[in-house]
Amino acid sequence: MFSISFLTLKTLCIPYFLDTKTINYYYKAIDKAFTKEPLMIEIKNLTKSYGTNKGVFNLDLTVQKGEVFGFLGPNGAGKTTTIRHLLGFITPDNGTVKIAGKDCFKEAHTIQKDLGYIAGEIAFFNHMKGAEFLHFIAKMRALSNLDKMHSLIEFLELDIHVKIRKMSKGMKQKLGIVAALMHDPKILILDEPTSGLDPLMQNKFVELIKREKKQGKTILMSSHNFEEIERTCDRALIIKNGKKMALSNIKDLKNVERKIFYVALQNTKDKDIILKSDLKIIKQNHTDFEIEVSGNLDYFIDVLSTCKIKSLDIKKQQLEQVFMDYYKEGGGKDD
Amino acid sequence: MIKALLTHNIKSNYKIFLIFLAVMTMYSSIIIGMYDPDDAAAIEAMMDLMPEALMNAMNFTIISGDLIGFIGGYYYGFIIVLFPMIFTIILSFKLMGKIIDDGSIAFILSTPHTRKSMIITQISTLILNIFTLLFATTIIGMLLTEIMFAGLLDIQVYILLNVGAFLLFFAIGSITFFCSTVFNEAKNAIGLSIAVPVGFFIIDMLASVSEDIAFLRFFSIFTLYDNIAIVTGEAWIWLQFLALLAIGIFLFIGSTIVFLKKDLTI
Ligand SMILES: Nc1ncnc2c1ncn2[C@@H]1O[C@H](COP(=O)(O)OP(=O)(O)O)[C@@H](O)[C@H]1O
Ligand SMILES: [Mg+2]
Repeated sequence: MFSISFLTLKTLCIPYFLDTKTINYYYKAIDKAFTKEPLMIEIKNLTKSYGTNKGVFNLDLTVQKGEVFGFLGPNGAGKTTTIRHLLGFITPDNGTVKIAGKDCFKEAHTIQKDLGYIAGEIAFFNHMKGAEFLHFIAKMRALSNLDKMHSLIEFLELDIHVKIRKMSKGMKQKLGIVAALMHDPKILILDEPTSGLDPLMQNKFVELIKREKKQGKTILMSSHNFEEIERTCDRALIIKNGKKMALSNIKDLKNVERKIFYVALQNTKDKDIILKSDLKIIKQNHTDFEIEVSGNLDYFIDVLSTCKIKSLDIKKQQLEQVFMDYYKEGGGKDD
Repeated sequence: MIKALLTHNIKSNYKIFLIFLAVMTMYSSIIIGMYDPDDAAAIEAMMDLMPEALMNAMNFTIISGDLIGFIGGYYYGFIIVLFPMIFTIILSFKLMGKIIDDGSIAFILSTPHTRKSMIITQISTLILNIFTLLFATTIIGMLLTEIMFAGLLDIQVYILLNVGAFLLFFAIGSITFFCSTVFNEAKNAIGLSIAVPVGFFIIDMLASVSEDIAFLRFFSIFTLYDNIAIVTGEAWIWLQFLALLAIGIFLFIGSTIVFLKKDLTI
């Protein structure tokens, strides 16, 4: 809005007292100040093909400074392939991939100064002890302040005096998290970072991400777990077979999310309450119901409160189902 | 060159280095101990008892009756080829092939260093290891001969034998390193970096067994290290040295160029 009025101003001013150059200078400066945060990650029309539906195709993705961006998709969707481009491990067949305005392949080493990365399948130098490994990475980064490293180790309750070869999958994942965050990078690229962590640790990780976000970090995080993305991200892109399926605010995604509940009643007579209600019943077997609820849960709870309930359970939804629903609701366009 | 990475490489590989150094020291002390300055003919007679084909295949030749002719024939005909070759294959694989195959190279490349400085560090580690191994065995050999047969060793020829050996493994190292860098999968990387030098080695052995197939030696890099010619002082060994150096430089640069452009599915 401001730019439009300024444009009018500009047209008015030119003939009188300001030359075009000066006008353009102010115009640009003001425009910059009023636009959103600069783009930290910018993927334009990226294509990397490993065969039909394998790889990434014509993908556009942008992440703003300070944003937590979720990258969702089933296995084989092309998440890791996209992330490899961001790290400068592979080159695009087509398109451009930039971080903070720099080409991810050509300037990988400069980008890495402010980047923290957790690989999808982390491979360590197995002969080392955890501590040895972290000190090696610190030396590679010329990192002298190890405060963050120590606080992360404490926070994640990681025993670093164990040979990496002898560590469990969860311990290795924690070690990867420490190695990625200890230099306090401005950008985090995390490829399925919670895989191998137990639910308790997954929660701790979510807490960690929220803390990093508060400090203004830009985060891109891939996952095939919808819940995890829902809890941490501002926006999410859904990818399947290498193609973008949807890009949305997490809030929108939540609104269309369908939940399926297993409800078992204590008394046969309560059956009718459920049957006569407006609840969407998917399956029924005597007093056992499978009920679908979209969006708001209030009505569902209201109805249930009038019955005697033996058990109530929620069915874990496959991510694919969530975004298929989203897609059906017409959310397939950019926001 | 990345100092932290070089230190890491050395720490990760010093054990196999020491093992190879120990084995080569053992052989060199046995061979030097076998020498009898008063009766070179007796040794020759002893060797005659062995099957000739086997002796030929292993390049066990008595070049001349003096000390340098003796170790130049035994140690520098076989031991110097076999053990550093295995060492070079293992080390090249550990420095490149393995970390590309299992993806642990991602930790190195996600620190603020260019691919170029990374691969230069790996190449330097390999060359430094080969150099140190051969330098150490050279010094140990000199000490052993000095202890057992003071003043009998022709130092000049002895050093030439070792300079040649270093150049030979500079070239072989470049081959194994190239194989380890070019292939993404361990089975290809390790397969070829074993097959090529071992293939050369077998060709070299076969070519020595019979005159009929002696022409085969032109297909083996080991022909460029001619221990007999070094001892007898042929001038053209310098051309061979130069060729080894050229092969090494060419393939190390080749590895670097490939690696700079390579897609790493890690
Ligand atoms: N280097 C490669 N060669 C051949 N196919 C590959 C290569 N890298 C990835 N792919 C294929 O591309 C698809 C996407 O893989 P990936 O990006 O790892 O998916 P995700 O991380 O979303 O699970 C998969 O079908 C995978 O097999
Ligand atoms: Mg993946």
